Amino acid sequence: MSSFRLSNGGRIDRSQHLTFQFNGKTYSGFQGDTLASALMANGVDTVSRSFKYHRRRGLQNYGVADVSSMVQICGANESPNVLASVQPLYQNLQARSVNCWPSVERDLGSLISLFSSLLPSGFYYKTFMLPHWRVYEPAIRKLAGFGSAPKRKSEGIYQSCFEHCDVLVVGAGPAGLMAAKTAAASGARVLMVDEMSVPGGSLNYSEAVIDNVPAIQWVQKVVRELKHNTNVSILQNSVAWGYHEGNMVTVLERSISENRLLVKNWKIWAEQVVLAAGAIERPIVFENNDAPGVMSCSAVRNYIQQFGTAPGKKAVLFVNNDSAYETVRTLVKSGIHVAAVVDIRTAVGPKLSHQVKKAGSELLLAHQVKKALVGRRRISGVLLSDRNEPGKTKKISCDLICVSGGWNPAVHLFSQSRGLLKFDDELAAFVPDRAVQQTHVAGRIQGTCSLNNILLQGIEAAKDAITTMGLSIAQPSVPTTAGEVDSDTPQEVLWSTDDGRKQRKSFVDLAGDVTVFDLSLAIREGYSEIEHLKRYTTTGMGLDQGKTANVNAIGIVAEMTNRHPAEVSTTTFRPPYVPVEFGAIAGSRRRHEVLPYRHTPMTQWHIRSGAEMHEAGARWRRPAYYPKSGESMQDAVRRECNAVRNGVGIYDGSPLGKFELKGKGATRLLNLVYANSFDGIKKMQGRYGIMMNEDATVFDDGVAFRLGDSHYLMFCSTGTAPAMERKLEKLIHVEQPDLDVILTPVTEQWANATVCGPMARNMLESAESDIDFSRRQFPFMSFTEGRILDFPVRIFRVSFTGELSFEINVKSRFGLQLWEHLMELGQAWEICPVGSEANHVLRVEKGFLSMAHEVDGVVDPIDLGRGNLVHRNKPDFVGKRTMEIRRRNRIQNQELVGLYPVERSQLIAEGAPIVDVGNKNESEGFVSACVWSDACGRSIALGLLKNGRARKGEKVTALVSGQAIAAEVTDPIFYDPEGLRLRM
Amino acid sequence: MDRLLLERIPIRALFEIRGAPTDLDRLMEHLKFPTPVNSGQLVTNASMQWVRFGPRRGLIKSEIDQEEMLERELLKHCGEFRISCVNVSDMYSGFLVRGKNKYRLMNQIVSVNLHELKPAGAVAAEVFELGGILIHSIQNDFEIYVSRSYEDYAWNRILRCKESEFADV
Repeated sequence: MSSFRLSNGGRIDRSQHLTFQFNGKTYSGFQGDTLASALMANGVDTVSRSFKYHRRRGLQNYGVADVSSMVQICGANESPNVLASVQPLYQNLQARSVNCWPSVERDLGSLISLFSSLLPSGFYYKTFMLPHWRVYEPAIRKLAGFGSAPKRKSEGIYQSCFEHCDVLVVGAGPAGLMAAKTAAASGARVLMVDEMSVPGGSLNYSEAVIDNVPAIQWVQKVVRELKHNTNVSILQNSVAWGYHEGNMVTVLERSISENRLLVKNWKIWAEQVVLAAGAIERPIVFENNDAPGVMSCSAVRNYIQQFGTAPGKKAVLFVNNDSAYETVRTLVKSGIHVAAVVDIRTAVGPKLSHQVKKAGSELLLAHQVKKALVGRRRISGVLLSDRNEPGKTKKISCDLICVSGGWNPAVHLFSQSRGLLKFDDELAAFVPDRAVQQTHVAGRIQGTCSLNNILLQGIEAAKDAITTMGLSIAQPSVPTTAGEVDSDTPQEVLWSTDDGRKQRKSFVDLAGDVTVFDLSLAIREGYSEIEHLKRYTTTGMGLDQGKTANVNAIGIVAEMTNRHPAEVSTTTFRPPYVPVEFGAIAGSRRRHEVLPYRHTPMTQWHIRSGAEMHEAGARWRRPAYYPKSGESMQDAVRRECNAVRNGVGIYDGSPLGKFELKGKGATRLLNLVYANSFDGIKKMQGRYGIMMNEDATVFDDGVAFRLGDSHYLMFCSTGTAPAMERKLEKLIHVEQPDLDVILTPVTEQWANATVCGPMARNMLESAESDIDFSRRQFPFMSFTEGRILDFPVRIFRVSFTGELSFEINVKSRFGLQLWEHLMELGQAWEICPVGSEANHVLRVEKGFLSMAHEVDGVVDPIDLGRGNLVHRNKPDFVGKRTMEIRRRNRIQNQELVGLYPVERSQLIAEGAPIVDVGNKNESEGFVSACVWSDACGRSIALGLLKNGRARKGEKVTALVSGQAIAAEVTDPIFYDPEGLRLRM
Repeated sequence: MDRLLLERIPIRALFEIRGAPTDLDRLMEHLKFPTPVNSGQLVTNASMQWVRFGPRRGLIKSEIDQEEMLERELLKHCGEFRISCVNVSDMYSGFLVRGKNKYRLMNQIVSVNLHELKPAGAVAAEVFELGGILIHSIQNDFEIYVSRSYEDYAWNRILRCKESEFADV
């Protein structure tokens, strides 16, 4: 093992060697390592390249706070933007650096640094204006960005999961563990989620003692207890990435091994949430603070204590608070020489100064790091200055700078929950102030530093949660603590040692390569408000969502604008807290399952019969046409149309929307929703009607049949059915609550096989049935019940093709059998299955309306030539008043017309505008449908044309891709205008 | 007990019952169901179940061979008790989830709080992203009903969830 792996220590299993590849090189690590710790142990300094300047970046932090450790996991489970600092190592893991080419060591993109003086914040907006931003965008996007989307389909498993619990504890550090323990002891159902692979949080690198045992042993004991409690669930490797309304927290659980990637996106509804998310150590900004070798003090302790790795060989500490001094102890114990402790304060307590001296290190008070000196691959030293005499500088050689500028509570989730924050002057950070949801906070998220208080707060937060829920509290024993660094000197705030006057590489935001100079420039350019400044400089907008950057940026801006940080305030925290892959959001859905298709009982028959299946609204898939071998779509459609016009066709009308209306108010409801009257319909008879929206535009058309005194069956268009249900329910329950009517959707209850064409009656009369199909007994717009074979059927005489038609409805369980029987029966009449394309042609020939074609959301029934269906003498119906206003204002509307392309075989693309050629007037209308009609022996079209009905015989011009197509305006019914055939 | 068993439920006689709460109670009393039945409860009489998943809505459920008899019986009382009764046996497709690990699977299928849905409980629920009905049976199994048009989709998703949840790590 390399010299960066300590000979002992760490909670890794040294008996289990793992090999892995990084940037094509093979390395080894141990079970229990993260990818980051294994890279460190192997002496890999440069893990990634930075976003903008492509500067070398090494490990800087730990857990989700280390944006510099972002890598791409390769292989079967390729995943971009994974943090090496949280990725557990596994056998044969393959990963590569991001944002570099051809390699992380020799990255051509780093040449950008040579021009960095030309690339301050906002340079995009200033530089790439002419001729247009889009010219430059592709190249810039290629240069910038991090991981790339996998080119192969992931073999990983993605799931969406749901859970409910009494108490959700976020964070398994000391406060979280105590909260979970207390809540569980009180009988609550507890779910604890933690971002790391092992629980313990900061205790993993602490030398503290709890209940007379090392902290980590105490953690193991508590976790064992929790796991034995059936009321408790623990999710490791799980990051809470969003806190939403209704106390719903989204959690990303990611588990990856050599053989499997399992990603679960949990939606967890909790009665109470305890946020024990801890705090992130704040950096102090100085020149070259991004170079490999600069790390937070806590990260250094973590890598040494948890993984037994040495972050460097000779360290300098740059601190402003007492908590960082524990790092001296840890470094010395692990044999790493501490050259100096640079503290910006003028004095520290005697215990700490003694500790530094005992370590053989120099304590430089009232000093600061001016600049990290960068060697070939990582830092080689540090340039210090005396804070009292800034001109007085000093160099110290080292390969590790451990920085601590204090602690920033991880308030992201609290803020996402809409909880209010306040600025804590002593802590120099924002802390939770007032919760808006059922949220409780405990531990370092509150700014608490003493371990004893953190544990107590965990108990208190759980007690609050339990009390709110009305459960009785089991009094937990309070653990005793020892071994912490005594804190007796307050921290002194220092955001940056760079004043931002010169263009130096002093990075506030490592994720977006935002420097102090960038902030200062933005302020000089007038972006002094933090929300503007954030967007102009992109501070806090990177993949880490400003975990380490935000507070420093606010502090620096406050100083530059002579304001208090509270006055500058924070920007809005938004989900996701960590990068979330699309697979996690999609869950187990595949391809079209994101919006799944619906099927009828006959769908498989259609597919087996070679039908081309298209979506036909409301996610129903219907056969578009049934091509025979060698047949084009046009050929198939013509054949199907001719079968309906001259013989017999059959189509699957099951997706048509169907509703049963029951109650004394059923007729009144129909009179409200339809523009025409539904009074006086006899039992077993039906009526066609048209419906409007409140603004008098046509909503749908359809038929309703009276099945009993207060009982109707209503049909509507396939695609409109979901909206129809909402509309009717709103009318019944909200607008007309006195209506005595109950609506039940029954679309799927009934399969529908519609037999149509002049031979339809002959065919059905040959069926084994108790139904009289004669015109006299079963006239148009009537309904009958009976049996075909043994199938109980409901048959409706309605026609959507303009031909004699029988809509045979049967309970869905019999749908396929009936369909197959009818196909067999129809063989003697050469029955032809008909798809929606042929139906489209047939309805255009008849001038029947189609949703989203002629019914375009603008026209009213009169525009569509259905004025006879608007019964203005009815007391009320939806859209009546607006219709009257529309008509009173005499607006010249577009009206439904038929169009004959002058060239008989010419087809006009649907949607083509009808224009006043040669004049710069607005279009006069558009072509809503155009088909070839064998029945008419030519192409025919429907269109909406301004003042159309008065323009019959006139020539108009449709424009298609610059080509003018002449057409003659005619009546919109091309075939059987008297409607004799459908009444046969 | 097996760890996890999935089955498609054969077609059942289902009648959607809607009406004013008091009218529903009167009808159910007449049908010899124990009353009152709260929303989210399921009760049985000799041959059928009354699944009430809302104050004004529920399902009468029985074996399919009872369908015709039940339909006659229920329709007879419709007017008398001012309720709407509609045969929806073919509207829904059902799936049964049972076994020790059923909760792990159900956590992927429905967002309902399963801890609260005790046996003999029912709720109108979102199943995957679709409207559906979830019944926690007296036998402590879960019955999931979705619109028949989504049957294959829902079944495939359930199978895939099972496969992913219980694949060997």
